[in-house]
Amino acid sequence: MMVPFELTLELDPLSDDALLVLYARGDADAARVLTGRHLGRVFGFAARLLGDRAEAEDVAQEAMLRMWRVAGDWRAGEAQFSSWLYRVTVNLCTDRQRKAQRRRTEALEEGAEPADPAQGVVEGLLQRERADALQAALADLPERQRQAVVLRHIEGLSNPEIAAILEVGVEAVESLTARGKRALTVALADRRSALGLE
Amino acid sequence: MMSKDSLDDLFAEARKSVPPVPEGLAARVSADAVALQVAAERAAAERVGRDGAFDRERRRGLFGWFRAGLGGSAALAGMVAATVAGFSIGFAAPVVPGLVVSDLVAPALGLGGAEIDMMPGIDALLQEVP
Repeated sequence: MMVPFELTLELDPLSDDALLVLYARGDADAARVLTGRHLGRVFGFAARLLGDRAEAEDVAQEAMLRMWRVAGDWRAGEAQFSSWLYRVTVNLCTDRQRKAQRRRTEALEEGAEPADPAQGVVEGLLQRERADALQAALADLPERQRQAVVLRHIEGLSNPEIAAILEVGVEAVESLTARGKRALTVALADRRSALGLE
Repeated sequence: MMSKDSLDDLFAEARKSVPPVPEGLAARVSADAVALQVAAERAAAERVGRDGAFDRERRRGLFGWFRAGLGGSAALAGMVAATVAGFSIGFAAPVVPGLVVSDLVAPALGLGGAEIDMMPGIDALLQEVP
């Protein structure tokens, strides 16, 4: 999302807590900065968990709506805002998946961009295939393992943070991520050559 | 078996390849934010207006409370008018000198100057029939 440069300079240094207070007081610029700061992450995370861009879009909008609603009652320092937002997103995704009778594994590559636009076409296609394969393997993991693996290895959160988000102990997180990684390794083993991972 | 490093490489690529936010999503999220702000401001304004009217009445003391409780100045004025009318009828009955009911009714009934008993007793009913 595009945010005016002057606005970014003025509000960017502010914490999420401070921006939520400003938003609750009617500051529309604070809303724009919060949206720019969190929407992409929420959408990307939901897309990884759901494997479906349309579903992820709905989840991201709903998660952000909950953020706006909670702004007036948000108590700074009681909880880390990003962890709260991850937890809301995880819960929304879980609800979606439980309501759906079957998981859809729509590829994410439609909108995914290569990290380096200068790289060759072949390498770009291969990278797409690898991302596709990882997403498909993630989709086959049990729900909690997938959540833990995505939070740990793609979102880059620490185990205590993941434990807070998933509302389980740190040991349970370690177990979930370890089992998830083992399952991914097995699932991708047959394609390691095709994906250029050897 | 695929190596641990290969899987980590896949994770690293996934971290760098963040799906772009779909077109229109940011606009919808911003619209939600603004709509909630407007609704909150409207609710706050209504609350302030209500509280303000109440405070104004309260500042006017006991009379203000009384008037607010009755429903405002118009209701109070009506009540005062009714009270004054009641008292004036009670203390100063509108009697026209020399005019009694019998003066109005008797000619109409062809009774001339005969007296009409407007409050007949029940003596006749108590009499035994011989």
